[in-house]
Amino acid sequence: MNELWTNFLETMTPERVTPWLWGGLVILVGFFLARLTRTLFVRVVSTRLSAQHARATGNVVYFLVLGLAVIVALAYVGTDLKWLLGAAGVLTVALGFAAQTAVSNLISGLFLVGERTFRLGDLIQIAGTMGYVESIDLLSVKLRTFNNVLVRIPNESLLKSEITNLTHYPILRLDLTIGVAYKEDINRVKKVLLELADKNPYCLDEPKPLFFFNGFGDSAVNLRFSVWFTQENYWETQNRIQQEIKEALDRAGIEIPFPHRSLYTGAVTEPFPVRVVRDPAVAAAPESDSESAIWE
Amino acid sequence: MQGTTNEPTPPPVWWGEFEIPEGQAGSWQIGPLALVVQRQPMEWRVAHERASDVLDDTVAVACPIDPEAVVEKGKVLRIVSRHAQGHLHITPVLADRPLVARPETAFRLLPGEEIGLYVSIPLWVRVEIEARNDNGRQEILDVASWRPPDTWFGPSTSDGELGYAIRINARLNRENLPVLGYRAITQVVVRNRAQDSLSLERMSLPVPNLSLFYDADSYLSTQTVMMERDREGKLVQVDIGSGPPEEIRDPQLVSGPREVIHRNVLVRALSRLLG
Repeated sequence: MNELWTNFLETMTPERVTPWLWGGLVILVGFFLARLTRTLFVRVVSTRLSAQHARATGNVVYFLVLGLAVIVALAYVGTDLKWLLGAAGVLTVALGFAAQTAVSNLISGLFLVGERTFRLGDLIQIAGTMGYVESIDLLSVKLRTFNNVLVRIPNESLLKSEITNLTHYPILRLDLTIGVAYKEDINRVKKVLLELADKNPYCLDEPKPLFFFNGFGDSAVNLRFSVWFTQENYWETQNRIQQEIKEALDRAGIEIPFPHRSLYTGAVTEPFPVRVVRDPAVAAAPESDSESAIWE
Repeated sequence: MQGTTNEPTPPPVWWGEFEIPEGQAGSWQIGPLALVVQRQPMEWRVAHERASDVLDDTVAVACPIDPEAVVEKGKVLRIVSRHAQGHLHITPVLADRPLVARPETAFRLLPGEEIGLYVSIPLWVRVEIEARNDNGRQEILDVASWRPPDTWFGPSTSDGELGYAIRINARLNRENLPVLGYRAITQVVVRNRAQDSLSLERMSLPVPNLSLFYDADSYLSTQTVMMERDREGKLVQVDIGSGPPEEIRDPQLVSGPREVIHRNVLVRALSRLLG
């Protein structure tokens, strides 16, 4: 045992110990430098990124600085970095295969953070799922739907999907399709709808409401009526305006028709049964006869 | 022969500090807005409702009165406090967003010209009670006497700001505007220093930055807003008068600005103030 200790002390010459001390010092300095860099980085980017984005990117910076310090320390000790690079390459390939999805999500997450398509609290729609953004993480985004369900969407899917952000701009337009009967005066319908928008405090005065003649439908003249409103009043306006349109058209006696369908019996079908009903007023008259019948 | 005067009676002063004993109430009719405040043991009850008739110019105050004599309209708000004092403060204030004024008839201002317009603007009503231990006042309600419709003002639907839309007659004389207790008058001076005419279809008035004054002629007035279009015709410099308008007699400050700006001069793109 003593011989082993003696040999160890003989090998611990200043020439051999000094690089290790330097290496240790570099790692120690690197550790503090990495922490300092992360703190400063988070402070700088926190004005432009959300708190969690700043923290996540800060961690990436931290590990980069620390990794650099370890490589420099190994160089001080005299380690041949070729094997390290080789091992790192093999490890990267292995990890790449094993964590393909995770890495893909991670990289997608970084792109999403860079794009800033949405922020925490925004109302977004992705592939049929609509909800408020609860968190934006490096691997996924979590949405809270209107029925209070948490939906986790991997960042990779987000990057490939169409994202609709309903709260990006302060004002939105609601497009409504309305059908009115062919007999109605379209100018009168337009006047009723524009007056309705004028009275509704949530419909913006400017940009002005839009009225379009959308075409001739099977049963109705199709119109499009578009109103602008603020994003805070999204649900309120959507609910109220449609009800108000129905009420306003009813008040004005403007018909919203049901689909009309004509039935043709043709030569091969039986004729429709016909019943003769007498007009009660005529029937009560003293000289009523069968000519006053109403065909139904 | 002695001539008869047909001078209309000015509306009563409906703002200030009111003392409401426990079990009593106060009732205010401020244009289309009906406001009822009741004081009960350890609580205040506030109810308000806006009439559908926006042209209702009735201004009336009854305070204190028997609560049996008033009907609480609209949604009732209860403010509970063990230390509820009997002092109530009612204050007229200006809108919480810019007012986007559109003249009934758009007009043009020729190059090098300057014009003073008088604009009638709606007032908001702030209700405050005394806070505990004399910590100032606690706001319990801030409501428009008439709520104008929302509007957007800016060069595009993604760049601009929200405001309230009002239609104005843009009178050239102050005396042509009636004395209405629930509206204030703002003088807007527009200068066109550019080489071409300025088409005035809409203008954004920064009312949250203005103070409100009451004068001897029973008008509620704000500071004068001066808008000057620069020589290139791209920028507008907005200057807010440092005090009450010079033409009003015995002005008294009724309420300060909602948002205090440290400089009275703003410079903005033309599309953000005039259009």
